[in-house]
Amino acid sequence: MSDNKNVKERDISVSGGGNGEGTNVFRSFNYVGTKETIAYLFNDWSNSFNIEGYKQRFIWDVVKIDFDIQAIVGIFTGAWDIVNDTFISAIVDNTRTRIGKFRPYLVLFQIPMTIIGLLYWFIPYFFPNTSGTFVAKLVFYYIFNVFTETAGTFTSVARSGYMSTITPNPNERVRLITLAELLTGYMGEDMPRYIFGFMYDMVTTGRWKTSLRSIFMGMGVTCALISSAFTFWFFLVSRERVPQSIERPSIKEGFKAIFTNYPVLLMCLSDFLAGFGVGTSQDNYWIDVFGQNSMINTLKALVSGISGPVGSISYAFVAPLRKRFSSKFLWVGSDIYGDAVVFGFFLLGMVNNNYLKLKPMLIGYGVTEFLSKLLFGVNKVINADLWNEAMDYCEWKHGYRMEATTGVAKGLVKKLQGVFMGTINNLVMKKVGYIQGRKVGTQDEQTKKWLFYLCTVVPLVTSTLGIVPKMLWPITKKKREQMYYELSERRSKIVSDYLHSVSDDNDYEISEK
Amino acid sequence: MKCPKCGGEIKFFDLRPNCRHCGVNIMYFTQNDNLIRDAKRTELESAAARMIIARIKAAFVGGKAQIIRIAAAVLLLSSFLIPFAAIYREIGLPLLNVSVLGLISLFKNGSPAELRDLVLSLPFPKNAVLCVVPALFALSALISVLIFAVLLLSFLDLSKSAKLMKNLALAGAVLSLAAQAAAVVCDFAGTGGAVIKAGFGAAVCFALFTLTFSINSALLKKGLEPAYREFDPKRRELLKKVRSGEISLDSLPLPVFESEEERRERLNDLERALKAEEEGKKS
Repeated sequence: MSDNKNVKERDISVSGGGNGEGTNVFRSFNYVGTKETIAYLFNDWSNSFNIEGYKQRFIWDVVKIDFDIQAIVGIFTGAWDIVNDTFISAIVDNTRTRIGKFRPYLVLFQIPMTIIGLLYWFIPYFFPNTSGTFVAKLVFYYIFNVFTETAGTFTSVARSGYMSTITPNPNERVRLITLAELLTGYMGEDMPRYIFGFMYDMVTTGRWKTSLRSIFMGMGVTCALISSAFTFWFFLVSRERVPQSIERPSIKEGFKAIFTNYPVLLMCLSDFLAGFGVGTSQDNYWIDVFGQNSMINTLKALVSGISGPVGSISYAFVAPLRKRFSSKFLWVGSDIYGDAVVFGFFLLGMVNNNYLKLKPMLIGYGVTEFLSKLLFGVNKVINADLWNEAMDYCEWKHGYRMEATTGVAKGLVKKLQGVFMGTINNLVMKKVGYIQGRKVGTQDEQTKKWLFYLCTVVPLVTSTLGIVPKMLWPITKKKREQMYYELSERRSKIVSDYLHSVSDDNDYEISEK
Repeated sequence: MKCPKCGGEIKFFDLRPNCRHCGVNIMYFTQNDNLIRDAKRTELESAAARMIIARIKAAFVGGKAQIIRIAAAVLLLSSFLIPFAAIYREIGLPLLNVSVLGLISLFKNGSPAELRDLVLSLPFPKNAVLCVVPALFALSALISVLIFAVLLLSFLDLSKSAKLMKNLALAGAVLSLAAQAAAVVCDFAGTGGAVIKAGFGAAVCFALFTLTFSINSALLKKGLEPAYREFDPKRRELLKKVRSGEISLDSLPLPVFESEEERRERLNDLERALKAEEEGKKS
């Protein structure tokens, strides 16, 4: 086709939605340019550029907050979390500004939140050498948590909603998610975890004569500043491109959408049922069973690193698997596959009490990492995309988007449960005889056994019902195509009708020359 | 900023959705224009990105020769682990293995001073002869590093980089051949006061330099053309003009260019969507 000959044929009138050749500016194109794509990658990278995985160790061994106190504080902060989530989501969903619904919160809150968040890593300096029940420390910890949780709710609610609005093209969205998940690993998003693991090992094995609180403070602050800078850059250069309804939905309609949006309901139910999982992080098992005599975090990183490329290669499976199988099949299948891998690791640990032996467990860990990484790409892409699909489904069915409210509803279920389960998990740790502040590797034999159970078979069994709602996912391939076609036509019409209504002489038309 | 409809001044911190002068909803008013501009810009920028990827593919995995070229460059670097020669003060432990590992060991064990003393203790031209093999080793190693660096950047200009690698490989082959010859000659003739035992590292390097030379010559003869998508070069040229301000995005059509294949794909997608919509309405 000659480009010059068909320039006129490609003239489009937005109000007309095309010249019969099917061009609609809300469909068929990509909108996220190179700079914004790079910023998107760095934003995704910055989400993992932290040492969150060691936060529990920070509280247990450095700050030292008693388990019982943590359990009680957890109930109160959890309850406050639930309350503020509800009205913050309503505030966000009812926000309309000239720069969008979510961007004001992301841009305005980012810097203050970062500065305040840095104080977290200085708690051991504010309250040095204090017991787990030191009142002033507990009060500070509680107030700090409540404050950061409240402000953090605005940014987290806005951020998760924002991701579904940076492009109206679902294929472009999947492309961005896939690109981010594939490349951010190579950009070193996990580096803080590996570097900190090495530093932690060096301190706990006595090779470095420095304190745990110093390394936590140093790494925590550094990661927070770097990741915050890149996140802020992304929010500055990106834009919301999915128009929200001019009329704000009523709060009643908003909450109704949670129940009438069937996909969201299924996701909430799945999370709820899976949320009954009782357990602890696998890192705790490795540190408390093997951490005394070996550089366990470093060893784990090396073993995991061997299968590193597999994770990247797994993204090559995403497109052919999505073509061949439905989203539902992939969602359910990957869940079952992951459970099977964990169960295999459990069985290995039980044979000849292997869970106490470093070599076989490291080999087992390497194998489970390899197997898990085979479906890494599919898991990451499917989970993110299904949520975006559910948001578009709400707009298709009801004419408005309720990203914040439905996001909060999904999170609310988890949190309500989390308040309860968090308390249970803390009490379980106490029940299995875990003693806080003890030198790593010196917990009782029975405790070590339970640490292994609590990171393998116990969460597996207690969360297994979460798979049932996934089997009822309603958006088939054909329905998805119908939904996106109708959405693009409707969006185009709404904008075009609005432009007609505000034009000076009522025959406003934008033509591409 | 100014209101896109009435031109009224809107303050930076005034985030209200509607212009306070004319009442228009700013996001809605600019939605289409912004989307159209974004779509055009992204089409042009994507073309530039695709062209880089096409060149990377052509440089590294475009054919068997390119893959062998990568292997040869990596093997070439590794071949410097094999000693070119070994220098002894007397028969016994070597003072210096002329290889990468040997150099690391020399500095780690603190023997550079000993080597320097040996060189200085010998009269000219014996001390010059002692330095020939290490010097040729160093030059060959430098050339192999340069070849690897050029290979990594070869996607920037496929032909020039192949030519440069070919010339560097030729120079490297000459140097490594000279190094091997010098090691053998020194081994037999001796330098008096020091003993040189010839290794085969230089021979391996020579073979690999020759392989690199042959592959790059073959690639230049065959031609290294990346497979660009139709209209991508035109899109890139247009992008440069847009960035320099020569052309404005608003003056371009949407899509800016569309090949027959792209148009067919788009209309097929639309047909599938219309079918799905009909079936959905019926059910």
